[in-house]
Amino acid sequence: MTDPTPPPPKDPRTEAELRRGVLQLVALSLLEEPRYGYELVRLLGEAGFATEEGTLYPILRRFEEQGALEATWDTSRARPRKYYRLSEDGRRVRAELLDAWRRVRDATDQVVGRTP
Amino acid sequence: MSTPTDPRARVADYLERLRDVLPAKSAASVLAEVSALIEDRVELEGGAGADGAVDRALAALGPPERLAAALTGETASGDVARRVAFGRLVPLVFAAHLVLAIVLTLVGAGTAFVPGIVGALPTDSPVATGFGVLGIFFIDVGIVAVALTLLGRDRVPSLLHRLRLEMPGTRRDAALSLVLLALVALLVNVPSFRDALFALGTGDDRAPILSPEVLALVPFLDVVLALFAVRNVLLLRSGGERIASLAVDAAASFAAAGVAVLVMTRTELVRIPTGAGLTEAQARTFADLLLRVGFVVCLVGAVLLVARGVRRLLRIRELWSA
Repeated sequence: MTDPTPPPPKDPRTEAELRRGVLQLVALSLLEEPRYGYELVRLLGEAGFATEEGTLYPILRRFEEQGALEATWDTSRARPRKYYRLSEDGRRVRAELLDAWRRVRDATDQVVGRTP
Repeated sequence: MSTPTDPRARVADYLERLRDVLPAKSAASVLAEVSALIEDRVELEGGAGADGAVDRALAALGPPERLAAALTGETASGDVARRVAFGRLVPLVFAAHLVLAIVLTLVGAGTAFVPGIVGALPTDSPVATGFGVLGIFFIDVGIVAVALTLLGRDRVPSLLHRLRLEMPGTRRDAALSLVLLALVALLVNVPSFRDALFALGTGDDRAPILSPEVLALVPFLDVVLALFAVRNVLLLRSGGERIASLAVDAAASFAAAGVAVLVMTRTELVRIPTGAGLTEAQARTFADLLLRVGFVVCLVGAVLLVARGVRRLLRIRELWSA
């Protein structure tokens, strides 16, 4: 009897790329209440969407420029800190992203089969 | 490219590199936000003194060029750095090239210094001179484009790091420079001081050697010294670069380059007295040698001064648009 062929090693980059695709949707979903940049990085990490500031910050900045996020500086602390919060436009963007994600998920299920 | 050892200096260095590659209109807000991101992470990891906290915070942001590329929507970090480096190198190379061409024109160089690239400007008519200047510009655009391509995308950010535009200077530097400028002004303008330094012979035979052609340039040199003095006074008052001090520094640099070019057009820098133990032929040879050395020194100096002036102008444009 021979040993079964071991499965190919899992490439962590593959999963990271899949998660990156939904990062914008998840980040917007975490911004119903005001949060600052590094707080959001930590929350994403705890939710299984580990990301770094260099990836998240350009996304936040772009959403802010598009009006999807409202940003305010808290200057009451020793060090000023910028807080982001979802705007009304941001809720619409999040709904569109959610729809898009559901369509991708359904299409994927059609092709690869529904997972148990 | 050296990396500062002090954690705070590393953060400042990162932010400076980032500012270098950001569009001027968004640079201030991005830097404030990125700075807050770094400080939040460093604070939660135990402060700047904690082992590796600053390095981890900077690594989480990635190289400044990549972050800027993500923020500006450009395709690759090397492209951002290349675009900025191109915008800085072209004016610098063009200004240096133009000075060389002007000098070669003034001294009446008949043949090209480097055929097809460096030579005297055509002086047949203003239109011909204009086309000559335009030709120099296009040659330089091509040279810079080829140089950046050969350098490769990865090495352009380190080149950009060396092409920083800020005007270095502290109050202490400015005070020291003012003292030095005052000494030079005394030396140049007070005949007894000047003749004590630029003279040959001993006792009653001691004779000044600077030629009348060179002495005629003293008023121009005084203007340059005055401009540099104003620049240092402004720096003393503000404690750092401001648009006014940058503008005066640029004017002083261009004026100094102008004086250097004027020195190059002299036919005689020194007049060696034959009574100083030299024969007439030896004195002529020595004077001729000094003229050639002075030409080379002034040529290099003029090119560097013009490059300095252009850097100041680029920095003014940067601050202005910010």
